[in-house]
Amino acid sequence: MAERISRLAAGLGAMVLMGAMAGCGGGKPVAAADRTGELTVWLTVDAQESWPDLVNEVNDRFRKTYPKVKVTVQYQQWTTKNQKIDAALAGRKVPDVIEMGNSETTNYIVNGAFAAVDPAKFDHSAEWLPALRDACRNDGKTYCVPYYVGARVGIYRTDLLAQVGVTRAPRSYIELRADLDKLKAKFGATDKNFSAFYMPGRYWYAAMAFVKDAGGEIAARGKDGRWHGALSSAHSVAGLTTWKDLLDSYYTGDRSKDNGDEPAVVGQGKVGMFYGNTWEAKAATDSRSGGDPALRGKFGTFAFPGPSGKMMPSFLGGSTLAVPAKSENQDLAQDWIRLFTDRTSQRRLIAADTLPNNTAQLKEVAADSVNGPAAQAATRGWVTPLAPGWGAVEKSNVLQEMLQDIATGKQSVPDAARAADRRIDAVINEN
Amino acid sequence: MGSVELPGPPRAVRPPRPARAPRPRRTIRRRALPYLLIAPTVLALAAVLGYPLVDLVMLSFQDMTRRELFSGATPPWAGLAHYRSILSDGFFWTVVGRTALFTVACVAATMVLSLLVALLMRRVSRWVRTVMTGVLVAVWAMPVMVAASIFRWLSDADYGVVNWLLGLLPGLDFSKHNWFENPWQGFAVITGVVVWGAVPFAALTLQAALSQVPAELEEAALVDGARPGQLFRHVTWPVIKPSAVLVTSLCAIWDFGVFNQIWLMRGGQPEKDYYLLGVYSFIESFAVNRYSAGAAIAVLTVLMLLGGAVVYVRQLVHLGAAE
Repeated sequence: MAERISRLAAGLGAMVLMGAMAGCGGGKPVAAADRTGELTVWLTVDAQESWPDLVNEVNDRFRKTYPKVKVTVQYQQWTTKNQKIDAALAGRKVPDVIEMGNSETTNYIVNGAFAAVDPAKFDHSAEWLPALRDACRNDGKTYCVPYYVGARVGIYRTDLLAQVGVTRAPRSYIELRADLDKLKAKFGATDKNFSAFYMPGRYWYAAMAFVKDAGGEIAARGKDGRWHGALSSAHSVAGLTTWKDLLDSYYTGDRSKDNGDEPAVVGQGKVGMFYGNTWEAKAATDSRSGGDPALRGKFGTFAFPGPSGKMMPSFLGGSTLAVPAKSENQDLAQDWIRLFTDRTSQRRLIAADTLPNNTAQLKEVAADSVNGPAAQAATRGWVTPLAPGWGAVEKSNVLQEMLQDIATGKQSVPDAARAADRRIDAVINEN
Repeated sequence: MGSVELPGPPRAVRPPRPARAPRPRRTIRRRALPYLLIAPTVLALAAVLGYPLVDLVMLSFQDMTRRELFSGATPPWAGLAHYRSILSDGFFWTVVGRTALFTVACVAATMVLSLLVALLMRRVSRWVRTVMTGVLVAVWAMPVMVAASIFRWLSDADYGVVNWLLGLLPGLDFSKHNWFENPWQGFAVITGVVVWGAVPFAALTLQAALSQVPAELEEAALVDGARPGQLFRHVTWPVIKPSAVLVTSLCAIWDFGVFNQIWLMRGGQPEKDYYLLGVYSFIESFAVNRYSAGAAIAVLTVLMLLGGAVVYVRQLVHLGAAE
């Protein structure tokens, strides 16, 4: 018995060794046309839903250079993507290209998950949007490539506003509130489920825009290089108070919700205005996302005027593409990304009502198009703190809980903000 | 045993009696046989359960960060540091207390309801019993994911049918009432889902146990003038007690580790007020990326459950001795 086991072990050992040796083969450069292998690309479902043609086109272009490389594109959900990525990165078989939100990258970069890329290889890299470029940089090197960006705007029901005698989108916060008062007086009086303005309590991208507009910050970096929460600063508290006032005045829904089902709720027809991404107006008229096709053509977008008098600083939620350091096809992966983010591809994104990754092409977005106000908003955008522990702050719902406590009146604004700052301080500097 | 010789089956098939004269080689082989037969099971369990468990315990003594996770390097040894900081953290003990309270509430509600359902099933006609069994099995077969989503919709603040129904009662206004704003109410809803999902198994097991109560025994007790309460306490309960203990212990183990229901009912973003041990461990590990601290919480949870299991085993041994 013992002898048999040792023989088995020896056999296994030999096999493992052979496998290991096979793994370190190669070395000679191969012509592009002769390159073989497989390239795995993980994109989020946005590409599948909104620009599937672009993906196919890029794969075709890639195949012209590398006819023998098989490209597999797999689509991931935002909610489960990072858990899958973590599991994959902890193993040996990793995807070669992964899409990362610009608020997610820093933690991966400081922990050495991504390979550095040379920005010079990519179109318009000198004009990359700072919101995406900065999220890819660390210690002077670039670790991911900007893909696209989205900015939030005001969206309103043109037909409802017309019924209260308003024919143009509001241009100042005072005008906005006057319009909302009219909507509330006309429709809120008869329907207690009507929200003149839709603002669920956990919608932190919106609430933080008010903080930024008031000159506040979510977190700031001290002189010693350490990050700390700044929500309880006077400016931030002022912003949160303005947000709470808007919510108290015009929102009638559940205050412990986030904006996850915003298009579906707006599609119910009991919302006059909301703050969101331009595509949400489209989704609100699409029965697949819970919307109502009867509302088609009844939404307008506008650059949201901030209470400070300037345009509301919008969170620039965007995506980047990175190559995991463990990928065995890093050069192929970079080449695929180069095609997927080049000038031609970006033009396709603009056509799909998305904002491009660079300021040069941002000007190509027509001002009167549905995305015009978003392109305008992108010029005054902000990003989440580029701190190593930011992902932990986001995922442990610190902001959402603070806002819920404020919205429901469970805590006063300063108390909730102080509690949130303590929780931010506890994790934001951790890798 | 064996004082009366019964006419048994032919010798050849009968397992050998303990040999009086030593027959060393064959006995060893025969003694080894059961171990050989169970070996695959033990090996499979060791691989599937043992390895992750050992890995988890190891992890809790290390300091694993994402850097080590991504690079594959061995994390530095941390000794008892994680345990020390967790055990001295007041929030951890809040979560432990909350988990224990939640478990007790869920188990008590489950057992009382199931016992009532099981007793009712004995009284009703045959076809009603069949329908009840069918309904219970259907509930048991319902995935947690679906059940939790349905309960979430039922208790929705804006469109929930619960608020609407309560609003129909005179003098009550439940429109826009948010059930999860106050954690006590929120946990009442979550307890509802958990109990709803656990009742079928408990009720069917207890019903099976109740069918073992001899009818003539109960009749005799009634003839002797026992009141229904006495009948239950002195005749019925002793028969079903072993099953009840078993079901209670299993429920306690499940409820102590409840995760899915909370996660789903809070939309994957549970507030701190809704942390139970399972959720807390998960958040520490996979939201805050403190893998080792999360592992230490999981190990402590397992230890607490083992404490409960010891009580259960002792109870079983005690019951066995009494019989």
